[in-house]
Amino acid sequence: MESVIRQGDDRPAEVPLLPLDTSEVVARYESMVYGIAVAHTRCRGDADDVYQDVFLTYHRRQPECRSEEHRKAWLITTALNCARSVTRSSWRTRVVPLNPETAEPTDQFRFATEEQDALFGALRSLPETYRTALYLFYFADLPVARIAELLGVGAAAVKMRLSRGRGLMRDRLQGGYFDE
Amino acid sequence: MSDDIFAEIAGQLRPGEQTRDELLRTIAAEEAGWPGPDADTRVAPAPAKTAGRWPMLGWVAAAALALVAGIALVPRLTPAAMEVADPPQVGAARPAGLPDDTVGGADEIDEPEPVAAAASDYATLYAAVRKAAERWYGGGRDGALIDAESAGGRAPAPMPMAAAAADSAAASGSYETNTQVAGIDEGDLVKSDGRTIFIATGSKVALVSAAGAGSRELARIDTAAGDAGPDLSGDRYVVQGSVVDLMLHGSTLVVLVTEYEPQLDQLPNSSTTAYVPYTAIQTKALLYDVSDPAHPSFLTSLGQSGAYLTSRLVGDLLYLVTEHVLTDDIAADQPETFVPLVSEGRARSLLDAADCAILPYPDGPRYAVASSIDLAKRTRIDSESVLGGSQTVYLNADNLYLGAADYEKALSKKARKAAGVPELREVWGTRLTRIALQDGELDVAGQGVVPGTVINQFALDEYEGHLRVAVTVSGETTNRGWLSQPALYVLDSDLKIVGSLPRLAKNESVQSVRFEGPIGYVVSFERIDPLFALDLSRPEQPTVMSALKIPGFSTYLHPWADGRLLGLGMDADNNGMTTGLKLSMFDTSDPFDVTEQVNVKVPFDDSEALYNHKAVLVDTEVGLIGFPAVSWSSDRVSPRYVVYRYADGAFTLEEKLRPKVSQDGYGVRGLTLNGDLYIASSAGVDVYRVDGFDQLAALTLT
Repeated sequence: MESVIRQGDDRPAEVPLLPLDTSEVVARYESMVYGIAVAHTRCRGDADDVYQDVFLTYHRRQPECRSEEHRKAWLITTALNCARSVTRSSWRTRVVPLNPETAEPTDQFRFATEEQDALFGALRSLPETYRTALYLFYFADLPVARIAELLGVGAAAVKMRLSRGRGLMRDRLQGGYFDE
Repeated sequence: MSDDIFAEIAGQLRPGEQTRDELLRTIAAEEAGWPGPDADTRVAPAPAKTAGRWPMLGWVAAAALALVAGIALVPRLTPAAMEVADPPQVGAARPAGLPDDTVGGADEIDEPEPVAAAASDYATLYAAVRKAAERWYGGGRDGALIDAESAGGRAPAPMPMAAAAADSAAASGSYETNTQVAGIDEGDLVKSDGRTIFIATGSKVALVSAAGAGSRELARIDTAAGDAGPDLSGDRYVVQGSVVDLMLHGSTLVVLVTEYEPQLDQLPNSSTTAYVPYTAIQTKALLYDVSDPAHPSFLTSLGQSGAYLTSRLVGDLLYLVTEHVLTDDIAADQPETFVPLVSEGRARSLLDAADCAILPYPDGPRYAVASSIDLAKRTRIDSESVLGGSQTVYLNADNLYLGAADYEKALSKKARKAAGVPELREVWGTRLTRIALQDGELDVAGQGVVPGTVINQFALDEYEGHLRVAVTVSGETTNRGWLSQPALYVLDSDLKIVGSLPRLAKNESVQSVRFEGPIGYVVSFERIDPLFALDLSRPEQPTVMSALKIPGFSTYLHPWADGRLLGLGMDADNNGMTTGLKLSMFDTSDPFDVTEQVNVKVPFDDSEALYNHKAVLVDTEVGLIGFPAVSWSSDRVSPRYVVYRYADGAFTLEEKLRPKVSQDGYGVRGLTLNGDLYIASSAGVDVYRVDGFDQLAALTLT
């Protein structure tokens, strides 16, 4: 596990940093991309795939970014779509325990504390609509206007998603799972 | 929650060192912009709203609906051209899987759209697979997929063949899975002949008698046992997964399972626990004789490469479609490393090269594999594969259509023009393959492309020799804007576009589609909700007939009776925010004036029925609509099975029943049999009297 140091990678960059070579882009945006990957896939192996695919795609395509914000937007959108693609694909995500009794459950990303696990777990259990908005707002530190732009919806819709998503998070963190 | 915890969590979200090192090694080994002067890499994706190689797949899940109705393909007005349908343009000598990618960007050239070709031999196929693998995995991954050791362990064994026996007719009061095409069954987790209910539960199948209060478990099939189980005689470690679907034909039960192999070479050598990816080896149709449901007996096993995609049943013929992704290394002199195989019992054989078609731009080294199996004779009739894979499968009595999203190659200028979207600078498409079905023989008979993506199998429909496809077209415009619009295309038997409505609406995407003979309905959404009626009496010139605006959108459409169309979906407020489930009944009796006759808010938040039509029970005879739903609104997640009645122009909530649900909450099915409602899932069965919903019986399956 990496040390718990918040990188500057998710602050809006005022200073134009272009161009960077790919490994520098990886260093700068690794946490952001990996976070999106973990939040939007079912297991750690898938998240690893998304992480690698996003930066490999970046490396191979060398998208022409007009600004650092532009590059960040490219990475976020690619990561979201890539996560969706990986989650949908039928061959990457099959994890069959060798022995159901003793096998570890699907390898999940683990955080340092149970509280953090519970919080992120609740986020991951939300429908994608809310999950994405909440993730980008709270973990990628994007302002509502940028999220709206990235998701192609109005700012009002993003605010609604955040508000409803927060409500759902609260429900999930307080209650049990099934009421049977 | 303080903001600190977010920062703490965000700070931990980093990949393992091994994962990072692997990436950095790959990057270091490759020149930036690989694979060189290729059209695909030159075109930078528009960062603001678009993606890299993955187009936006309907991200924005808010807002309202456009119901596009009335695709009136009047039979008499179909064009004369149909009668002289050209022979399909396939089987050409040129291996179309090898596009000429040494030329410039897609924008600059006006290349012809190549059609799918059948591989003339394994060498041609190998070249195409290798090319696809290189595009997909890149050249830098330690020679992955290229020229390596033999996969080994696939020695043929004698094939046990059971004698054929006639199937008995189904009992009366039968249950039918909610399917797309009338008379064509689709595999599902629960099946019934009215007498016995078959329920997939893990790697087993429970057989439960449908006997009202006397319902009980009769037997259980263990698919992992004996000859039905994985072949453990070789040196490969094979695991058989859960039952993915069931199909019932007379007294023959088909149980579909997939065999997996762990990729042990990916195990790290230093850690005590690890994530091990499993590769789907083959999907098997296990045939059981269930004429005596208390004593089911295994008949035979018919398998094919890949993970399960879908299955259909037409008469005696079972069509099984899988997706086979090559993850192991390939070698030119070892066809078993790159050619799909089929199995009967333990015996395996490779598909002939002639049965391996190649899409022009395969999206990775993946095949769609289709087989036809005669359930009366218990034998495979034919197989066909398409390099390029498939995500969407539509089958009618005459044709099997495969839709494959093409993220490798943007549409050429010519294709964009043919599709009526010349204003888009870069747009991805869906490759369509038509496989003609003739008494179980499968032949690739046409290939084409439409811009955009299809939402599911309901987006495809053939009528009077024309395929209609509803898509969401997304792409970058020539003035660098981003566009997303629902569109409808009409294609001929060669899958050439003959008619189109390329701009049904602006900045919306398709939510659901239903074709009903000459009429078609498309629900799209945005914030405000036009409901269009289209006249497609001339395939070349479809026109909009009417439009209606209502809030919310339907994700599933079901033709009711008497000019009514049932919609199941989400309600939305004026901001386009979804506010919960909703049932709508549309009056489609006049396609020039489609109206929402009535709607009702369903007091739940989510339902499997929103994504899976097989979770919907519609019994128009008694006016019953049933589906599983969950509610999050309280402090817990509450799964229910809700039953509505539609009568006298109104919906009534009949009952909210508590189903037995498995941990993932999916796979709950309602069956009406002989006046009783059975709610079955892998966790158990509850039996209620439809009249009054008194509970008659409860069985737990563990």
